[in-house]
Amino acid sequence: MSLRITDTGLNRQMLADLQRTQSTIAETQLQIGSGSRINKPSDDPGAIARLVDIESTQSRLDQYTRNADAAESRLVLEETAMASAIETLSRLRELAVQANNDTMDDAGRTAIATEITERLGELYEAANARDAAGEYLFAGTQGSVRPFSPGNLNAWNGNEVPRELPITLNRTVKSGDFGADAFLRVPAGNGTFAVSSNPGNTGSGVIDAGSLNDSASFTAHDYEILFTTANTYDVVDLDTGTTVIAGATYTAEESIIFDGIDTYIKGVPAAGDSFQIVSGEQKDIFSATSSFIDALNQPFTNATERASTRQLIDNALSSFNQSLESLSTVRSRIGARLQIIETSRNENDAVNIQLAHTRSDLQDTDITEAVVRLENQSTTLELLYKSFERVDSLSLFDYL
Amino acid sequence: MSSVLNNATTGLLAFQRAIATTSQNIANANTEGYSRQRIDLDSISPSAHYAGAVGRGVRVDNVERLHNEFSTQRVIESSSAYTAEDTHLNLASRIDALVADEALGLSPAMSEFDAALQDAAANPSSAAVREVLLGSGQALADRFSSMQIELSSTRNEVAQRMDSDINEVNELALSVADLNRRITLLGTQGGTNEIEDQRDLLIGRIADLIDVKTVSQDNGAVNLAIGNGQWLVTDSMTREMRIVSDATEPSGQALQIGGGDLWENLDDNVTTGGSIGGYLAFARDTLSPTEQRLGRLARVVAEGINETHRSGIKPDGTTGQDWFDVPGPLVIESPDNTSSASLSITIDDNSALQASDYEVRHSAGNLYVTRRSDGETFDGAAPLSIDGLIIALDGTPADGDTFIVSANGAVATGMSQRLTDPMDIALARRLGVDIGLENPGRATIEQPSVTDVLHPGLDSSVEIVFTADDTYDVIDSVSGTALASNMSFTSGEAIAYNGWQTRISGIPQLGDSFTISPGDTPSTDNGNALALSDLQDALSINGTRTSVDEYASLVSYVGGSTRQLDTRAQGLSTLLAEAQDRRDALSGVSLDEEAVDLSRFTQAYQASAQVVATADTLFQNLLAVVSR
Repeated sequence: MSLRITDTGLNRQMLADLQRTQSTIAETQLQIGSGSRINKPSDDPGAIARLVDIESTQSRLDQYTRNADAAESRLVLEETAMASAIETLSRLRELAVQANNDTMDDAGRTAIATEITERLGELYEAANARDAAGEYLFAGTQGSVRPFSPGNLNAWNGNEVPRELPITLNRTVKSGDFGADAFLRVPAGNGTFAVSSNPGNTGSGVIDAGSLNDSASFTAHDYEILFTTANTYDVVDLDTGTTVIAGATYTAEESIIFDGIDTYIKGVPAAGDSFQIVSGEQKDIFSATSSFIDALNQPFTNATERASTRQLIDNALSSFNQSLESLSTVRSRIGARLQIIETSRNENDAVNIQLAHTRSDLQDTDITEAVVRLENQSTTLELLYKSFERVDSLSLFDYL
Repeated sequence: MSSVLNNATTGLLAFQRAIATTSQNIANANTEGYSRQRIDLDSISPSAHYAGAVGRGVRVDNVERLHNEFSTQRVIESSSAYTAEDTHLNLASRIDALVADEALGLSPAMSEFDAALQDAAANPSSAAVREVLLGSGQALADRFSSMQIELSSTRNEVAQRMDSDINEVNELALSVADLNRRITLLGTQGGTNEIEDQRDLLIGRIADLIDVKTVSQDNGAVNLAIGNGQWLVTDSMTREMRIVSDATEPSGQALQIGGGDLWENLDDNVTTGGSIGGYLAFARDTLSPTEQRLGRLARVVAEGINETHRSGIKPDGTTGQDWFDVPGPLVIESPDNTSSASLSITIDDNSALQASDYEVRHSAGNLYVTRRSDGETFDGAAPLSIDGLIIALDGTPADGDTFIVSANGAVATGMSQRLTDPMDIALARRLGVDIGLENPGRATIEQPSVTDVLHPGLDSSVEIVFTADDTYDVIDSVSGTALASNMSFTSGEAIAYNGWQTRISGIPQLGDSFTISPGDTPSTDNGNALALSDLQDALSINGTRTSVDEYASLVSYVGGSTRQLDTRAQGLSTLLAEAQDRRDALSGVSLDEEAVDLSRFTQAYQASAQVVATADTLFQNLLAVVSR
């Protein structure tokens, strides 16, 4: 038996249908209008959790790009400072070579000394370089205090705490270098050991910076080459007190080889003259330059004085070479970091594009589909109106 | 002849009544709760029974109210269930709109705070950047509290609506009792159709407020019961409902029924229907979990930032203070407690906190704890450690004393930024390290991290000196006392003293020294800013989720339950429509049907009138014959 149909029931049904259709139309309209198919969490509770995550990740990626920009601007300034320091040092090396020329007279050397004093100022300027915010670049995290000051050569006011910034989801970059690495911690001599002549020497012997010829037998001990007569010498290991070479005959510019060390002495040493070889020492670039200036300003009248100046100039030359190496190392580190920043930026962009794509997949209204849906829903509504009109106008009373 | 006339007269009278009944139906076609009426006609037997005896016409037996108690009951039940779900849905939709709103939701505020932290990390000495960071900290705290305030005001509104709905139930119950009285008084006399309709309508209204059970009595009265069969209306007597505050209830309120001094509690869990059932379900299943999770998130975020911030260094060289203020855990004592003892709660591990309140009952020296969110129980002697909380006794409680512990409840409301000066932001690390400039070796040292911010020696300067290539001493550089000597060195192994920890890697040499000391002042370090930013990645919620994940999960929980409610409400509205159709099929007025009836009864009336005319003709004919 079918149910009795009543007028209230019919009207209720009709009203419910109208309301339902109208609310689906409103929803579709909102989706088209806002461009988003998710306008509140209950529209798609699964997708909304991912959207919250994606939005948070995207905002971090934007931040990483800003961090990369900040780090880059500092690193570019650092690189400029390094480049200028390297240029200065190359000039210093040139001047050292020039000063070492036998034809150079006292006046010529004094002129060179004057230029070098100027150049030292440039070097300090580079080492005390600042970023856009006025922070010293080579002071670690002591950026508000000038790290290097003339006249106080070894005192460094910086620290070695790295200043890092995250630039991708899993990578950080150091946006600063330690002045100590670039300017202070420069290996003395040829990088392995440093030579010097005893200031009390009476001969004109000058010891060459030498080189490491066998790292396996190198001991890193300190040595002394002592001339027992004008043409015989001993080599003593100062750490152990043992005599490594005893009573060798001196020939100018002939290699003296012991414990992996290869050097030679030229000129005419006198009996009692001595030369020192020390290992693992470090010398800062500023005091190396200062002692170079001092050596140049030292006039000489005899072969002995000349030899001593030569020795000092030779040593300065070695120091400059080592410094150039230190600076180049730091500079290439900066270059590598700049490259990483560039790569990271591209990576972030790629991830961001991927996320934006996922986000759009999750969230965006498929407009074509939505418009077709709206069309269907409107048709349904129209039909409902029509059928309501038809049904409502039907009444048996009209026929009685 | 007179029998013909008599029959016709009964017919005329009966069909007049029939037409009147039809007119009553037509007039009430749109009256809510009206049940259609039908006239019951009976033929009247002849006065004497013999072959050829003719009946004596028609009689109106009754004007019947077409009504079925069960289908009415089904409408009431469906409507009660639908109203509950619909009320819950409407309230939940507000939370749904609140949690993910761009302007009100939490996740943009958390992202902005993080971005400001990293901007500060990129430029720690800039006062402007610090100012922005302080602003976004304020925004974060405001967002938490305004969200919680929104939730609380919803809770208050629900309480007010519940109050007025309860008053309405009470008034409707009085009316039902009054109708019961009138119906029982009229008894078998009849004519109670309209009053019964009215009573059904009132019961339906009560059902839309709270689920009610009806029991029809033989005397015509209908008794009403709510909750666990607690009576509301018996014949013409009523009881009242009321709401009282009760700290030991999860909602802070208890529903009661009774009168005078006699009141009994209604179980929240069996009050599932009507708008009152909807309010209770909303408070229990949507509002409370949201508040709990939001509160926990506020606590974990704020206290995590506080802890890290305290281990950092401000530009003036002093250590950071708490960044945010958050209220501590709340203990509510039951008014029935017989001792003055209380509980003291400390939070031991934020990452173990659960989104729930706890009911703690004391008995014979032990605490019996129930976690409200899932009913899990714990017991043991105080102090008791549960879910990152340490519950200790404060005084000696009596047996049966009950307390409610709420660690998350209103945390978010009370969250505020404590810092006011941008220079109070501690962006720098507590400790720095200096590598000896003349170090012969090439070993590197990791930045020391603070493991115990309360260690008294944390700020003293400590030197690690290599006494040989593979052994080192650890010396307090101020007092010169050795913390350790001749320690053997392993590259990359943790070295921890005075509440910090570091690692030295590479190949050190005799004479190498490393000094760990409070961060140099003034410092342009950003280590603590990064540590603060890293908190966002920590699995700080329940040890399994980051704060952003937790928020995403909360949004998805609210969205999911709202959607489920929507689906259920739609299903229930279909059921309701079906029940209404079934009831209408019997009790509703169909105008077409009434039209047929009207025409049928009119025809019968006209026919009866014709019979009178015929009788008259017959009579005239007879008279003519007789007078002739």
